[in-house]
Amino acid sequence: MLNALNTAPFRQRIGPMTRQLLLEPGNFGLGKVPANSKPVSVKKAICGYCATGCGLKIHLNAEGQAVNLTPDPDHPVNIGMACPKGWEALTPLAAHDRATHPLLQGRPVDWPKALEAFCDNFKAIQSRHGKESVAFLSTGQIMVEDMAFLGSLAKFGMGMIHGDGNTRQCMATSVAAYKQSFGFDAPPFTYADFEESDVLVFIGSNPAIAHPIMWQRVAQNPHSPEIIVIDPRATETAMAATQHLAILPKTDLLLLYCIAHDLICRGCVDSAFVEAHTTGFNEFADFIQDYDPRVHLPAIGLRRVVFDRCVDAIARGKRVSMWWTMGVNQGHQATRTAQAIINLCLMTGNIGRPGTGPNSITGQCNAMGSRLFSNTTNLLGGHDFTNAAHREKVASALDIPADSIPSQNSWAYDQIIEGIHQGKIKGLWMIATNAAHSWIHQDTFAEAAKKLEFFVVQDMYATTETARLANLILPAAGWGEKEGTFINAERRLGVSRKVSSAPGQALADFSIFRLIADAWGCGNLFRSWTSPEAVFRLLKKVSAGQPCDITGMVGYEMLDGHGGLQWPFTGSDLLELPAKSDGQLPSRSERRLFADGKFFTPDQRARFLFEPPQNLPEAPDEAFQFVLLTGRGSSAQWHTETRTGKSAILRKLYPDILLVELHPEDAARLRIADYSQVSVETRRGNVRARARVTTTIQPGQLFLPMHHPEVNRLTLAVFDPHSRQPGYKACAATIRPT
Amino acid sequence: MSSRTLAVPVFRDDELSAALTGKALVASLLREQRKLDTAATRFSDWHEDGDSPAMERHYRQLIPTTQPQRGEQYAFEVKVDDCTGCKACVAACHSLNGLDDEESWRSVGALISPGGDGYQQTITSACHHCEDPACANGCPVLAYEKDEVTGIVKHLDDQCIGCSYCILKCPYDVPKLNVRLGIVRKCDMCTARLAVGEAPACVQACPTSAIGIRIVPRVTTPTNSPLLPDVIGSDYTRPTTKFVSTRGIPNAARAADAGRLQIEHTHWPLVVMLVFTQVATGLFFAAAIVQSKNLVWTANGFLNAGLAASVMHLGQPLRAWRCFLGWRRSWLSREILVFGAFAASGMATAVFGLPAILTAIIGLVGVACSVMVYVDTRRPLWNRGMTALRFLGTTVIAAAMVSPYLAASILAAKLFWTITPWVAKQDTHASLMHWVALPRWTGSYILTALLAVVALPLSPIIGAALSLAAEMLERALFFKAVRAWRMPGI
Repeated sequence: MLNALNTAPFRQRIGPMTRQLLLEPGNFGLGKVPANSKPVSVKKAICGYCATGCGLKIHLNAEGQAVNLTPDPDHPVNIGMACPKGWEALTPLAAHDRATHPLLQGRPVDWPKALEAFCDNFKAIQSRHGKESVAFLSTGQIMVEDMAFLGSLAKFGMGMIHGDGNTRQCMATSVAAYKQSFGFDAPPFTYADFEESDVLVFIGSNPAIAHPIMWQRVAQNPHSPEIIVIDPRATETAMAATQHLAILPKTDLLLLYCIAHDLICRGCVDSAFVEAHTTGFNEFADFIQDYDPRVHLPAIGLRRVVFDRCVDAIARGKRVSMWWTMGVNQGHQATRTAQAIINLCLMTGNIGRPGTGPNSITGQCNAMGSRLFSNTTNLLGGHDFTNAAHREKVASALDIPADSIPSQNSWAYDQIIEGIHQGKIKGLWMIATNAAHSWIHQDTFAEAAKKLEFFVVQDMYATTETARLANLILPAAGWGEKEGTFINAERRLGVSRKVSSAPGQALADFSIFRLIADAWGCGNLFRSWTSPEAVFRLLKKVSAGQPCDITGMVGYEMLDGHGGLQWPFTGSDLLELPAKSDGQLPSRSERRLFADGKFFTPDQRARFLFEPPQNLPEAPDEAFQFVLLTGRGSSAQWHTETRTGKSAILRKLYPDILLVELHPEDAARLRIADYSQVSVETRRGNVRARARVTTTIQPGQLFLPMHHPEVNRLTLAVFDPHSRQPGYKACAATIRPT
Repeated sequence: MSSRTLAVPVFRDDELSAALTGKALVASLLREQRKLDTAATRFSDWHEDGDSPAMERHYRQLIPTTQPQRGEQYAFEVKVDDCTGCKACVAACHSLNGLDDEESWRSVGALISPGGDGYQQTITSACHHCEDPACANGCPVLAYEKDEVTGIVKHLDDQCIGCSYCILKCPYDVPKLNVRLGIVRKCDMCTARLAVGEAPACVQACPTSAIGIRIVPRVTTPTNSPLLPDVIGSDYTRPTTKFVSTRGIPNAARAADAGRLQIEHTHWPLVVMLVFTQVATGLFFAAAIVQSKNLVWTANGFLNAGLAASVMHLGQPLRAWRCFLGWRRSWLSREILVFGAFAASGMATAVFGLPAILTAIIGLVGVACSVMVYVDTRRPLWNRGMTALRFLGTTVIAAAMVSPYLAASILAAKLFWTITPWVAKQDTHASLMHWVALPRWTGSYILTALLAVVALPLSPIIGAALSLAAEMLERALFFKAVRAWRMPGI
């Protein structure tokens, strides 16, 4: 009887519901996978979120439609791992609010009608106010070929002068710093450097959650490295570090100069390297005499013993690498801060060898592609618009008239917004970015948008804060619905494939650009731009002879086969390429720059560049006693969350309400209880949030995650003078219970 | 003919479209956009049939090579210091197990410190595959099994009736209701993967190898110390997960969401079921006292309406006939059995004149079972005294309806005892829930109860209706305001 009760029908151990979770061998090296999404084939794609550039294996059904994905175990970047955004990369494609038709003034229209509206309106504006009265703002999220097409179409075909990308908000500082110091925008590192350093210094960088798969490489470092984190907050990375220098906000430049001072005093300068490969060290050494740590440490907020431990480690280190991210890039003196890091590496000879380098960790999946091929700040391929020889070279490579290439530089993002306010820009075309959420002191963007005569937004979703302001919305296919290359933070070009069909009338950005070129009447200039890979071949030609020479990369299949390839990659590199041994990890053909000490400046020497630190543009005062910091909230959130917000799984990974981090001492003083309602206010506006009372933030400081749409109502529009990158990281604020 | 066909060069769509303009180009590009490449010719298609899992080299060290011996079982081990907050484990569990949109058997939270040095620590957790699993102990239909060899606590999805009691029982918030299927589902430590030497999804996906499977001795001596701060003492279910930290967790550390006043699910069908069965019990007592046939029928009305409501609570009511299986350990199973008898007895009283007092006593036993159903969850607000006071209070108020003044006094006394923090000796959390998180519900309960107290002597019918409303509000608060034990949240 008891046994009978233990079997069916009394105990149903198997049945239709149990079978829903059945696992089966997935083949393709996948191990067991859900039986209901077992792949018929797999295809590789590079993740379309951050600049790590993880390889993903997309599981396809018989129709070639993606049904699942897993990180690629054979990809040299991520070795089978991904962050939650990567795991969930397919989910946002199926969101119900995808833009499926062009929308003109909110009404669905067909493509011919949309193209007509696009051309008629922009041409009318150009005829009234001049060609440069129409501008574009683009992104680091679309493919290299898309970017090149957009920049070329806008500037060579439509006569625009001004175009920039949201990469201005994340990477412009690194670009400016590298260009000035090295002669070219050339992040020198390869990810193997994470594993080869004996000292890693992270400045304003939280890779544990911002770049988890890069952090994986740090965790795999076999040399028990000293990990030093310089950050006002006790971040996830700071928790995992061996040293945390919790400096006061935006005292990074001062600290870096003090470190240089101490290293010079200790005689840690690699004189042979400095003499052979750099200029300006003597002037730098003179300048740095004013930065005695004994004088400045109180202003930085560090105790001497903490500072000494850090300098000890750097002085002792044989392979010291220094990594920075947005904490540095988004500051009022960002370029000089990045260069202060570069200076430290140059003076100690920590460059060009494994495990060394002043290394900027890029933000977006194709920020690096944007830097070289978006035709915004630079002429295609890292060339110079103002240089006639460069214009000739690019024109001949693209087979277009040289006089179709503008000879003047573009305005930066903030100057374009300012241009709208001043009535100089009357038409704007925005592609795959969400300025109404992300732009610093965002009200200035919303006001600008109202002043535009015609505003076009090209995006996957018609529901972004920005799309809602547009006159015309062009529905774009997303990552996974199109093909092209990304360039990751270590200069690796990888291919992302089309694995999912786009909804409705949505088209790949590349196709949209083709349609606009045709409708505008400049299709003839782009007659050979018929596919992303065709454009890739053109860009190879453009890159010839540049530091970013990719002429040796044959095509997409070759990139796929090697898990991507890093620039430079010339024909001779092609001959030396080690073969992939079958069944093993791909040969780690890691490529780093400057092994020969030769830089891309005319005299092949790196420059020491420096400037005295300045106070915060908006220091705390009586009325606004706190410094408000903003930054990434979690690994599951991407920027304005137009995509990550669509995944129910990702939404489980961060608080569902806006939390402002506040130190317990301040909370006690202001009688603010944990999780209670508060108002955070700056001179620009206020937001409601709940208090998170935590020691990860220092007294006198507040932190808000940037992903909530209202946060940038508070931020202060300051810009680094060299890179014109906005400084999101510090402004004066106040907090009170409500 | 055939040679002519062969001579036509094959163009790709994009090459073909090079010559097109205007609407023809639009049509061509839209067609191209819809087309997915199914030709398995590209390198990136990369077919390799029947090969071994490529991730095996990563997880080889993270899972045991042998099965547990007698007195041992599999357990999760989390190296807390290595967990740096990427949260990939949650997404990987979802994807590799083919779960529904919001489903993942792993969740993440954090510890932070309200004092001392800056501190935060991400906490990843899944089912703890307890030695004494509360979910299994509470399940009325024995839809849980603790595997004798592996110790894995498995859920039988085709056995589950979707009563959600395991969700109330588990102090780690592990079982999750799947509304689409009307059942609960949970982590099985990827049993099917472990069986063939593959690692569970979360283990495979952790970039820093912070999650592993270990063989541990079955816990013999219960320890009261919790797994982590702000987590229930481990003596309740004897969880097997090991959270290992060489750096140590500061004494001041607490769950990041400890200050959050989380309003729990109201479970309206249960509110109706509990109040109505308790009212029915009271009315049978009243009927026994005043010998009223009408009262018996009224009592039966409440009783059957209450039991009908309880069926609404089930995701798979057709499977509920198995609810007797769990009677040895599950108070819910016992409650259902007793209420079944109660319903039969109630009918017998109405139709065959079985003495109402007998039925009332069966009802009282059922109410006692109801009390134990909640007490057995170890949720602080649902302690034995308060739960008994609330549930039996309803019964007594109903019974006292024979004398409106008496009913009014008891109602007032119950209100006073339930809601006044210093009288109810509530934990701070419950008071905050009542007065900060749920002021409108608390206010409505107080107001309705006071109105009932005033109305009862004036109009017993209106008074009784208000009393019923007050009891329903009290019960809704009972569900909403309780602090559910959980792992640290975000």
